[in-house]
Amino acid sequence: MSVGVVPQFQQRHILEKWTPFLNELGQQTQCSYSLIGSANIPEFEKQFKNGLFDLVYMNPYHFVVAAEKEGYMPVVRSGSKMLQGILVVRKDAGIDSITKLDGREVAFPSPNALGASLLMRTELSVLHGIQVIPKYVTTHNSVYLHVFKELTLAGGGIERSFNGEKPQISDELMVLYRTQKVNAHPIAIHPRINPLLRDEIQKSIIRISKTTPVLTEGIPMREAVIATFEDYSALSGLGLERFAAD
Amino acid sequence: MRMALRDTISIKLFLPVILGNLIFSAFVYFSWLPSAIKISVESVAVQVDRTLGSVAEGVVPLLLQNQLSNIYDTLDLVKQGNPSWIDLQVFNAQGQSLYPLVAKEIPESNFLVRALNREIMVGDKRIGKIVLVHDMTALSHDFHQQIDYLLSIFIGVFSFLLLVMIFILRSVIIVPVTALTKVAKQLKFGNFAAPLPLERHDEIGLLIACFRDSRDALLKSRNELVSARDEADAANMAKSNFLANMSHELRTPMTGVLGITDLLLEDATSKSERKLLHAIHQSGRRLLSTLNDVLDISKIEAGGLELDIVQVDIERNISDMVDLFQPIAEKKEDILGVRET
Repeated sequence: MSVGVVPQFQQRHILEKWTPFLNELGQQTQCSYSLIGSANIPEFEKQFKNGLFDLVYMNPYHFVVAAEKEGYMPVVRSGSKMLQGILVVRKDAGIDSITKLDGREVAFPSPNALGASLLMRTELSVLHGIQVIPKYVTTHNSVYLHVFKELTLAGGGIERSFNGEKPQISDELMVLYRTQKVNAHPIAIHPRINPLLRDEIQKSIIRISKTTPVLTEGIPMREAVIATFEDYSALSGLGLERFAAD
Repeated sequence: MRMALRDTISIKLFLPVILGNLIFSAFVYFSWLPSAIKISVESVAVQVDRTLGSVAEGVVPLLLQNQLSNIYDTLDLVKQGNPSWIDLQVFNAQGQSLYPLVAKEIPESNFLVRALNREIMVGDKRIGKIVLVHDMTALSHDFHQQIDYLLSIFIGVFSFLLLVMIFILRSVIIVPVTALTKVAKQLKFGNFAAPLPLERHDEIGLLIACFRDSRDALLKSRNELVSARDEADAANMAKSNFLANMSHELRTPMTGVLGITDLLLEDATSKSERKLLHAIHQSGRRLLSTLNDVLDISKIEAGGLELDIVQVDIERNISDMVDLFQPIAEKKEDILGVRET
């Protein structure tokens, strides 16, 4: 089975974390899994919109789009972690309010990164009337580096990636704003996959999450639970599509 | 005779070799090595410049997509793979630092530490700049270490071979020549039996053999000379003994002649008889004296001459001499006389 992973981390990191997980999943389901790389998020979007992946780990907005385009179905999601976008600035930049960012350039990973970009830009615009000039820099690490190097005044990311950043960088930055929380990234499956195998995959991932949590925490998905369409239906009413790229 | 150290074969042979070795080592260290390091450094600098060009090309797509994290991952790996790249910095078109996290000041270039600049271009458009500080001190240090190692090996092997050669020279030449010298000194004191060094089948062996033959020939010649001398001494002794015996035998009748002459002188009446008898007496005495002289010569040759210190009557001796030769002078009508002055 072909497996896709949203490239919000470096390919090397994704390969390191996903390979042992897929090996274990393959043993439990008696099925082989092949990881397909994506150079960047636009390519990833193109891939899942074309139904390239049998199994795919993606952000909630991507899932909404993928479900609509190709009929992808949710399998599992993190049961303990919610997705929350954050806006970071340098501690010594003298910015204490998001209003100071109006009309300024802000770094985001990619247009359709849910927490870091879509949700953040939507809230800034809809809830606070702040329009920023987006600069897309591909990855969350690049966002934090742009802010650290003062190439942009602020950057959008998520709590998890910010906490995983090197102290040398994160110590110089601070979180200026947090978005509302939404359910975290699901693993979705293409409808062409046999429902029996889909159920087996779902059970196996939940089992692995309980018996060998280190494997699922790495991808990352903490305490996997069954994911449903209802978990992500609320995203449809936020107006995210205004800031999304096709 | 003692020999100065500078005159020994060892010094004459090995001093030039040691000096040559030192000159060679000094040449390698102070002339060849700096030149070789310079060539290597320039060669490495050219390679590094090319590599930097490739890195700059590789960074282009990452810069265009603002993939700063990938730039960090890539350049971190590049730096990790090139320990001599002590600093690598990337700037955007506006001159803002992109890499590394904390940019250090670019040091001034010197021979071993060089700052290389490359513009990052897309077509004619300049999108950034990459700066590399390349430190080739380690390369120079490694070069020095290698040469130090090679020179150490060379000097070690050379010293060992020198010791071996000194040992061989000593055992093959110096020891036998010194022994031969001692034998030659013994020869000076007449010792022909001093033991020679062992015979060998090389040049030194030939020298020893020639020396032995010469010594044997000299000994033979010496023995012949001694034998000839002894024979001559014996012949001389026989001659002396004969003279001594003959003189002794002649003295006895001469003593008789003198006694009878004394008796005749007592009875002679005429003056002419007395004068003739006196001449006979004087001639006899002279002959006796000559015989005594012959005896003295025999004693000299026999080593038995003894001198008697006695008073001599010079006037009487002269008068005797005149009386002895007066008749001969008169016969030849010469005038013989004594005049006091």
